[in-house]
Amino acid sequence: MSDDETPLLRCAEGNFILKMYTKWIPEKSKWKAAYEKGLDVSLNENENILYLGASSGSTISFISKYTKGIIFSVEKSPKMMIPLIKKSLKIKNVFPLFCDARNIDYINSKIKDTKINILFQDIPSFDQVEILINASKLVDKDCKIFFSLKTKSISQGDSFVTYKKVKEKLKKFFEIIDETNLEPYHKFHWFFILKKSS
Amino acid sequence: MNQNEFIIEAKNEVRKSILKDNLIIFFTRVLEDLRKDENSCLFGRIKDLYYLINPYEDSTKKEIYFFLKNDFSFSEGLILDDEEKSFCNILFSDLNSDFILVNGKVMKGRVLGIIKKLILKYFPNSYEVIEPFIFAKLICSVGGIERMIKLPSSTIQLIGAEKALFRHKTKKTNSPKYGLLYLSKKVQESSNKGKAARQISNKIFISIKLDYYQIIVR
Repeated sequence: MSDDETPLLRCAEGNFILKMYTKWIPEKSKWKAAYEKGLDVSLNENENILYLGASSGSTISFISKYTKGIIFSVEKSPKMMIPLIKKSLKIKNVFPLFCDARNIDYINSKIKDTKINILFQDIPSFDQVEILINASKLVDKDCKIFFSLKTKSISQGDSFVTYKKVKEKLKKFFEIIDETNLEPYHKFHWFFILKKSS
Repeated sequence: MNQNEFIIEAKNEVRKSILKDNLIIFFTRVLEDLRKDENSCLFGRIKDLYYLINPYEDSTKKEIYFFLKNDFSFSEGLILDDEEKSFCNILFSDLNSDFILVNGKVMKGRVLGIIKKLILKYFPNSYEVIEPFIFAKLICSVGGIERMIKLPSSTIQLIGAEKALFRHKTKKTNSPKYGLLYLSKKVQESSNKGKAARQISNKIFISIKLDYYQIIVR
């Protein structure tokens, strides 16, 4: 590589600084993987999002560029919460909430009257579906619900069998608009786009 | 809606969830390093403690130098007592500019004493069941007291013998009877070591829960 092509910048003092670029990769984000798979997970400008299982906030940092609405990011682990708070200090529309996603009353007291347009749930837990059903009480009927399912966290058996069981459970409470398998980006993962059934 | 209110509340909640067992883990890892090599560099260990006390700041070597001389009055993470501050100062006062202890041999004994005092303070019931350093090693290998209280006594018995356990599962060799508990005097002196290890793990299973809910959570 010649000197002109190197990604180094010379600062005023004469030292070299590495120029960093971050890319939204489908291997690291289920939202992006669902987009790559052809699902309609696009955002409008002023949509508010409730993000359950925010982790360190890598997906949220990219989402926040596409919407001006509020992103409520819920996380339980203190280790993951620290980088999330660091990111929310830089990004103005990220609101961190340190609580369990099962604790709806606390989340409801914080959200107050803000209308949520998108509910995203990515919690690899054995009671993942129950958490989603519980959290759907916080949103209206026209709210889009994105649900990323990890079958191996529910059962170590055949993943297709657990996927079918979960799908039957979801049909009782939601209307399934679209769904896909997230392979090759994420193994044993499915992604659903849901709406509350009337 | 104000974003700052959310951030301040989240920070307060995170501060509550960082427990004192992290301090015990720090000192046991320092002692394990010193037992391997008396002249080992402790920069990485002290960086870990720095992030426990100031979790939202990015550290360079200069900031950590300043942190060693500080009196830990300002912290957004783990809050230290006066006694715990003095424990840290004992360790930091012996460090030279390359983060290596000047009197490694002497400090080994002092750090062991610190671990004893910390476990007597926060885990008084477990202190009577097993030697403090072995108990601290158990917490270290599991990764925290919150994870340890969720374990059954049979798993506590085999902490540190994972390699033998999975060898037993795959190749069907004899199953292990004890892991880190083998270091305890009670196990080594008894004629039936497997039985002694099982009895101790049963008692630890109860005593941890007492300590956690009576002292640490409050």
